Amino acid sequence: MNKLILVSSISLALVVLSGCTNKSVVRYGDATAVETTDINFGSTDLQKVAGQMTDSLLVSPVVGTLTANTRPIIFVESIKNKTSEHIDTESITDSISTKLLRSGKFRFVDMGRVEAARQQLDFQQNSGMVDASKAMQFGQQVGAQYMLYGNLASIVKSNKDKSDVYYKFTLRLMDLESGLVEWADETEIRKTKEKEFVSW
Amino acid sequence: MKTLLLSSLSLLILLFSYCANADYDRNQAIPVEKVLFGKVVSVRNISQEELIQDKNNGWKTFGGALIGGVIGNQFGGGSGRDVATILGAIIGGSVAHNRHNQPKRVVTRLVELMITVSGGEQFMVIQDYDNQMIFHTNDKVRMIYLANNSVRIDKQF
Repeated sequence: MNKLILVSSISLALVVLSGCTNKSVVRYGDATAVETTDINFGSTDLQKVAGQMTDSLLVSPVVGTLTANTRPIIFVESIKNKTSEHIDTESITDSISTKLLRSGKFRFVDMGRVEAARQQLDFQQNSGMVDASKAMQFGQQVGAQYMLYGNLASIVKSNKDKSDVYYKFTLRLMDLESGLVEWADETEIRKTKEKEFVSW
Repeated sequence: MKTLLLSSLSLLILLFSYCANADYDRNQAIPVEKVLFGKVVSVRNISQEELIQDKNNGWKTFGGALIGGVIGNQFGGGSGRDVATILGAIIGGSVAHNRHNQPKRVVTRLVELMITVSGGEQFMVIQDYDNQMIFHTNDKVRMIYLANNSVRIDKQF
C-alpha cells in the first residue's frame, strides 16, 4: 500500500516537474500579421492605431494648409495611458512620428534626447578636443511650433462567458503659440473574447 | 519510508508554489475607475512581520497596524499627517495562507510610495514589492484606481 502511494506521488512529482520545463521552439513570423494571443493590447492594436492616426493627419485639409509652404516643427508629448495595462505609449508615438517624418511634411524635435545633445555640445565647446571653428554652437536649436499629444483609454466588461475591451486612442495637434488645437482624431478598437464550445 | 513519502510530497508542494506567479499582472485589461498621473517623492521598502489570525480578517488587522507604523515612522514631524494613505492592491502572493487556523507569523515585503499627483495632492500608497517594477525617487508613475476598490501604482513609460 505504502509502496503504491510512494510510486504514485513520485510519478506525480515528475509530471509537475516536466510541466514546468516546456520545450520551446523559435520561429520567425510576419511582423504585421494579426496577433490574437489574448485580449490585451498587442502589436496589431499598436500598428492599427499608429497607421490610422498618421493617415488621418496627413489627409486632413487643415494639415494640408499648414504644410503647404513649410515643414512645421513638432514635438511629441507623452500619450497618457488611462488603461489598466502597462502599455509602452512611447512606442505608439515613435511609430506615428516616424511615419510623419517619412512623409516629408513635418520635422521633429526629440525632447527625450535633450540631455544627450547638451552633453555632446558641451563636449564640443569645453573639452578642448574639438576644433573651435567647427564646433556646434549653443543656442542655435529651433523651437517646436506644434505639440502632438493624446490619451489612450479603455473600457473593459466581462462576464463568465465573454470579455469585451474597448480602446479609444485620441491624438491632438496644438499650435504652441496660439494654443489652438489645429487637428484631432480618435481611433477605436473593440476586442472580444468568447468561450467557444467545440463539438466533434 | 515515511520520510521519503513526506519529502516527495513536500517537493510537489514546493514545485506548485514555484510555478505560481506572485508578481502583479500589469498587462491585463481590467476595468479602471480613474487614473492619476504623478511623481514619486519617496520610496521605502518595508519588511513587515505581523500576526495573522486568519485568512479572512487578517488583512484588515495587518493593514491597520501597518499603516499606523509607517506614518509614525516617516512623518512623525507633522506635515505627513495630512497625507491620504491608501493600502494598495496587495495580492498576498508572498504570504503563506494559514491552513490550520492558528496564529502564524509571516514576513511580507511591501513598498511604501509617497506620490505627488499632477494636481499637487499627495498620496501615500503601500503595495506589494514587485521585482518586475522597482520604484525610485522622481519616477513618473500612474495611480490606477481599479474597479475592485483597489489602487495600484505603475511606472509611466
